Amino acid sequence: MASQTLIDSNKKARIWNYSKVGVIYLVCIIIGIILVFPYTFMVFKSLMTSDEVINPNVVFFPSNPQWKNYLDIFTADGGAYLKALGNSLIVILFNVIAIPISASIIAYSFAKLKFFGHKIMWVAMMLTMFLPGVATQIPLYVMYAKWGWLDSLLPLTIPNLFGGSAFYIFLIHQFMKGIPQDLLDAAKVEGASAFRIYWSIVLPLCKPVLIYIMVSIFIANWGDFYGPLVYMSSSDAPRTIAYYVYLRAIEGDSASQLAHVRMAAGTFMTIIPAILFGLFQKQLTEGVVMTGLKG
Amino acid sequence: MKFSAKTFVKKNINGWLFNLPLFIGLLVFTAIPMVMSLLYSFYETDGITAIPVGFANYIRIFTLHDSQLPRILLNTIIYTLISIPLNLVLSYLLAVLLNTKVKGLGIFRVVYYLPVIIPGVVAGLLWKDIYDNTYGIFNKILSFFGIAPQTWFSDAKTAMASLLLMNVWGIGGGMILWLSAFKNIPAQLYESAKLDGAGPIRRFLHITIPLSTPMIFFNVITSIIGTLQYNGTLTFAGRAGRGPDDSLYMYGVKIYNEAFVRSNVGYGSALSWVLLIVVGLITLVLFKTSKWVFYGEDS
Amino acid sequence: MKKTNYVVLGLSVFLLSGCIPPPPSSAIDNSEEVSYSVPTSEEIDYNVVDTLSIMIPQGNSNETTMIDSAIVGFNDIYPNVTFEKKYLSHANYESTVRNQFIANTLPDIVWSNSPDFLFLVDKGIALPLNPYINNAIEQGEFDLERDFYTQFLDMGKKGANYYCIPRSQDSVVTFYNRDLIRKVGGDDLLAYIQNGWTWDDFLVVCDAVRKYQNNLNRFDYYAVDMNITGWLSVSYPILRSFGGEILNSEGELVIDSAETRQALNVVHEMVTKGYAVSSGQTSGSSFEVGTSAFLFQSAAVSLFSERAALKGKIDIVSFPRLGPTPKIGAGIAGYTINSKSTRKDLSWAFIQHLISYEGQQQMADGGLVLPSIRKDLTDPETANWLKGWDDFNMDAYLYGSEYKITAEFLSYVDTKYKSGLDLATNDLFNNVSNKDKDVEQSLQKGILLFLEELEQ
Repeated sequence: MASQTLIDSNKKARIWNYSKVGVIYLVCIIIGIILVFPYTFMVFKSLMTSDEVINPNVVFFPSNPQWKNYLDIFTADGGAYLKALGNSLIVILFNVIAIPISASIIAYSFAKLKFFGHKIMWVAMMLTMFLPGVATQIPLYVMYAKWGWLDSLLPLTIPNLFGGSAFYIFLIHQFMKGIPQDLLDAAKVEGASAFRIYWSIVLPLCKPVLIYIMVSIFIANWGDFYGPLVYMSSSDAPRTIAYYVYLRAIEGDSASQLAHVRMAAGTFMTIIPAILFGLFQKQLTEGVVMTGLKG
Repeated sequence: MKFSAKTFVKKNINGWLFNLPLFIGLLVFTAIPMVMSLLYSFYETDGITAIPVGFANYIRIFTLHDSQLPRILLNTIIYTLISIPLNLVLSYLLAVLLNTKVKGLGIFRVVYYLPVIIPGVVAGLLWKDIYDNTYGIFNKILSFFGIAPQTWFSDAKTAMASLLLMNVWGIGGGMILWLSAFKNIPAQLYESAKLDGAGPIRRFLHITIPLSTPMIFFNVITSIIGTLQYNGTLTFAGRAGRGPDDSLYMYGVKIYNEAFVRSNVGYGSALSWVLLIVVGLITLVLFKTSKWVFYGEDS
Repeated sequence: MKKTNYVVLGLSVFLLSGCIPPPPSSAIDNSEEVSYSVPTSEEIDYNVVDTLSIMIPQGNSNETTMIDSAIVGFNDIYPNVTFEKKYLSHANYESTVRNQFIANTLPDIVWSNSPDFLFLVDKGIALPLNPYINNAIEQGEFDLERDFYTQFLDMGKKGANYYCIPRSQDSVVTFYNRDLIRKVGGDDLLAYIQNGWTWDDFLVVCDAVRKYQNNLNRFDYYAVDMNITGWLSVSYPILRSFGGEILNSEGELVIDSAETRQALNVVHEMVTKGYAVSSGQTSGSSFEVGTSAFLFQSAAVSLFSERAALKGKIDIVSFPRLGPTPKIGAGIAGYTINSKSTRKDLSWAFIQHLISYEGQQQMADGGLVLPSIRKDLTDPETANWLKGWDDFNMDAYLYGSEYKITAEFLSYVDTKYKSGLDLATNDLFNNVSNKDKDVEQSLQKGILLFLEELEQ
């Protein structure tokens, strides 16, 4: 008798579980469709002819997928497109290494090395997060002009040797605060220098937040056309891919004629970060498992 | 103990060295330009020539002598007060949904994050399309359900609501932050709570939320800062980002308008500084009242 | 420690105050001609070795090829001058030029157009050119009235001083789909469309097109594309055609007048009668895809002539004459000289070459298919910009030079009001071309917005 009710309740529990799972899946799928459909719309538009794109009668599916639209982006001025891609990669590579290292060094100084004057520096740093970029843009432009940095990749790279944005430093700092002090004290007792402690213990532990930052840096720099627009607008300046796409698609002789290229460019520019995210999402969402000093 | 310069330096040298990049960067790329822009704000200048005007720019702002300011402030405040809690709650719930121990939810994380990755300029154009009155997708879908077409961005009454709705598509971004915050919550807490007989809702309220407060706090602050400066309407709203009847005209666009379109660099700098002070005050208040934030070093 | 902080702060503020721009020197009074000395022809060294930098708009490949052709011709005169081309994006025209001017990296020769050059004038960026022009006249190198369409040269003037020298003339013309109109009413209907036709003629054809489309149940196909609400070159001339005006020469708002109301009603009528789409709605037809009959544009015919939907089916005609004082929208694109340039004489030599007979012909060869500003380049047999376009009524661009105006009212106030005035005008015409909105109400609302923008 008892075993029968046990089986029944097991069955009930299983049905309850399956329906719970089913409901969750259903909700996720519905939300997914809602959130993603603008993106799919852009992809479809990227395969239409330019007339179809600007046609006031909205067509959802392209009648004749124009894969050559993607080639159109490439055929610009011979190898100019590839050069732009190369320039973007140079900038991104530089920043993706420089920012995590410098930002974490700085975060470390705040989180674990209480030094004289740290309060002032902290406040000063936080203040920069509030400054609208517009306020410093003109003075910066004039400075760069005086140093001859305009029309080069320097304005997009060198300033990032000094920590990148306060946002990243803050993020890493919060993360580092969670690292138990005992772990570091133990290393100090064993005679490790501050730098070694930072490099061999703290930095590896920050991997999740660093990866998040690196992906953010990639996405931010990949799509940044405003920076190049301000600092590198001359013909002899190196172009980045975002800026070049912006130029070709939006400032062409007749914007509406290139509507399909615009959409193709947009799709293309979205694919790379999307792939990156897909590859790294595990690290992005995995937390730090503190096996620390349990034993 | 007598103060010894040598020990003082020795104690602090590491901290100073590690902090040096920040110091240089702050000085050269932030402090100096900031002071320059502060100086600009006391002049009437277009960047080429300048006339000193003392506090005139600031007086103009605070006495609302600039007749565009009242509605700009209203729009900005409404936008901030609604979009931040809205996106916070929705992205949080979304993260909770994806955090349930159901197999195969990983793919949804990527899917929900996709809209966040669309380059800003392209997204603006896309949404302008979607919201088009007669031929946009949204109105077409509504007509399938027999609902009358909406005026979205073309009418002052619906423009702000349309903007807030459009922002909901970006909740994937916040969701990622919450998911990593959740990973930081030790699983044992949930285990022991379960053993104590706590149901899922109780576990949510008493473990998940409290332990994500550091991330919530951080998110609220950065959201406020970003939202008050928001100037995304420049890429899709009509009338140079101002929207019909200035219904989408916000502070960030105002600064851009003054500094770059009208070449009122002095006035634009003054506006920036006022914003900076306001944001600073808000943050200060938030920090002072942040007792509810839980830095879990001990349990 | 605190004290040193203050010292450092004080010192840096002191040092940084050197970064503040100087107060404006007494601005140029443009009611009088500026004069300075220029080299006589004996003093010119044609073999000078130098480099000229020139700023060209980006995204406009035609401009580049045009200038390249002109450079080749220029090198026949000055063989040892090389050129460095720099590009600017027109979207950020003012801030780019201003920033470069501050940083002393602005090229010697800077492209501009009729609305934008006023910014250069007001900021002292462009050099007044009268001494060079007067000298050239004295040397017999050209005669203004004889050689040029002076009303276009005048569009580059502020007050008594020339600043921007046009490299061509832009006029608004009417593009029309001859094929479609013939389908609607045959050659009888087409007969209404001639250079010099009136607005009433235009309305007759619009009416016929409207009825035609209605019979085919194509209620969202219109006779004319409604681009007037975003374009000062069409909206402002319509206003002026009735004697209406936005600002008087003192910069005061004078738009509240009976004449203005007349003009606005004409626009409103176009919408209520269904000739153009009401603002706030999207049209189902467009000239570019061959479904609208008319389009007001100033661009070269080459922009549309090769489109699949339009090939062999379109032509151009002058802008219809409207009201008691008909006006046609026009403008110029041309070049200015950087007031801080160290090669002013050479820069002028290049600009003079651009407007010379040879220069204009070379540029036409290099892609400039717009009307020349020279009076001796109107013969299809000889003028390069006309060659090959015999199928089109290119005279449409040249018709009615006595009617042509730019958005002159913008020059009556400081340039910082320009974008605000542009916005307010577009707003007004946008509201007026909404068939559900009352014209008087739209005007009152518009007046408030104008006043707001002018106070700023």
